[in-house]
Amino acid sequence: MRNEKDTCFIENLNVCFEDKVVFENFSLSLPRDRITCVLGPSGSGKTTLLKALAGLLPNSTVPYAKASFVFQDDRLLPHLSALDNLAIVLEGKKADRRARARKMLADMELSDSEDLFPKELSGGMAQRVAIARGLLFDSDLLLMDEPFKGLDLALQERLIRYFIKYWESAPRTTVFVTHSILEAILVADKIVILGKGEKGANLLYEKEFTMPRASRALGDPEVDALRSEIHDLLISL
Amino acid sequence: MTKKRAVENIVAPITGIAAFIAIWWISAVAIGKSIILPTPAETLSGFFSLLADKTFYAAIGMTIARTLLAFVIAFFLACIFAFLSEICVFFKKAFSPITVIMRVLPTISVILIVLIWVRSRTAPILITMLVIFPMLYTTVLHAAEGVDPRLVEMCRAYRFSRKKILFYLYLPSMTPSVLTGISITLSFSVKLTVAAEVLASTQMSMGRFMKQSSAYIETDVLLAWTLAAILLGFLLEGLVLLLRKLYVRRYHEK
Repeated sequence: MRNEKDTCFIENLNVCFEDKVVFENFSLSLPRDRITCVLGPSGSGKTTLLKALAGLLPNSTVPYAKASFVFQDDRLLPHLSALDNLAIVLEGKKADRRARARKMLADMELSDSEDLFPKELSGGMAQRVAIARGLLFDSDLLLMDEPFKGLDLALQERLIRYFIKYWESAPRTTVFVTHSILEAILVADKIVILGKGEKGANLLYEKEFTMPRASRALGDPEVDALRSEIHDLLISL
Repeated sequence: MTKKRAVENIVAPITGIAAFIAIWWISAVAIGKSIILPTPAETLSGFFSLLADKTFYAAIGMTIARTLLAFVIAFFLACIFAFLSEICVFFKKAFSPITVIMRVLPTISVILIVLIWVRSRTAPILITMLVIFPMLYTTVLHAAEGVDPRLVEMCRAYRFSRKKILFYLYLPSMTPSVLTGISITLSFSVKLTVAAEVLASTQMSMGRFMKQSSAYIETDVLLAWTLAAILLGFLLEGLVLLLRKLYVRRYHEK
């Protein structure tokens, strides 16, 4: 990934699994310290893109950055408490790491759960701890792979609020993969749509979205127009 | 505990043991010769008279020491070889036929060969070690292969060091299945050590006393020693299973 003042560039990404080409000479620009939401049909390479950016693919050709990865599932270590699941991704003395982790849990309103093991957390709480872990990890890039998938609507909205609140206090270049148009509109500074081409994934749509997050709501003409535009495009794929 | 579970967990095993003792008793009475098959009461009486004998404890202590020493060495080696297999596919493939040969090798062959090589004092340790090593190797390797790949991916994403991955992911994740394997192998080790002691006539061992009582046709004493060996295996297996249960309850059960 090449970094310039306001933008990070992914250039000529090539990924293939055995005979299947997922990306061939794929390029994408990510606005620095902004959230880029990636939409697209299943199998278009959204998760593969994140894994390539995190350096998790042995056969990827793109130089990767130090990245926080929030997965679809919580992926918490079952033998560590919520607090230690956060502290373990930090560097430094144990007391300092735990203090930082404790503060993060407090910010995410999870102070009461710091001593609980993952099996004792509800699905929503565990995912909130996983998001907290991603936000706490010192990284250049935050990668989120459908982090609110499978959660009920009310919980999704609450988690999005927590995420935005914390992210705005310390913005960082973020790639956010989702299937939900509304989720993308609520969080994105830029929206891209990936399609499945003959030679791997291609970029079908790219749009910067500058409307302040606080004013984004259903019923707003700009939000509704963008929603229909993306919906129509996704339906046509 | 519900009534159904109480029946399954307590009443059923007691029924099984009671049926076994009843069949044994009836057979012993029918045969009528305690030299061939003593009754459970005679065996129990022989067991209690053994309890009064100091050499009984010395023999049990030495047999436990041999069993545990063989087990610890075999487990240590199994961990090293499983670790090498996990990080190097070539080593795993190269080592695979050796473990298969070790696994299918008749135990009696191992005992007889080792008895030619080493003295009777160390033979039971080496025999037990050689026989249980492939079992422990397979247990540890399968446990390592069973670690959740999604968590491995998470550790890589967050740049965990190898040491961190080992101590915070692999070891805790492998513990339940390794403890299950240990419990089975440990009670099997007791059987093996005793069998090797019998054939090697090892000084101060349960096996040697069993061999003596067989030679003097003291069947009640032989069965009393057998009962002691069963209780020893049961105790070791039970202790490890208890540890496993506590571990799983703490970290895994909802």
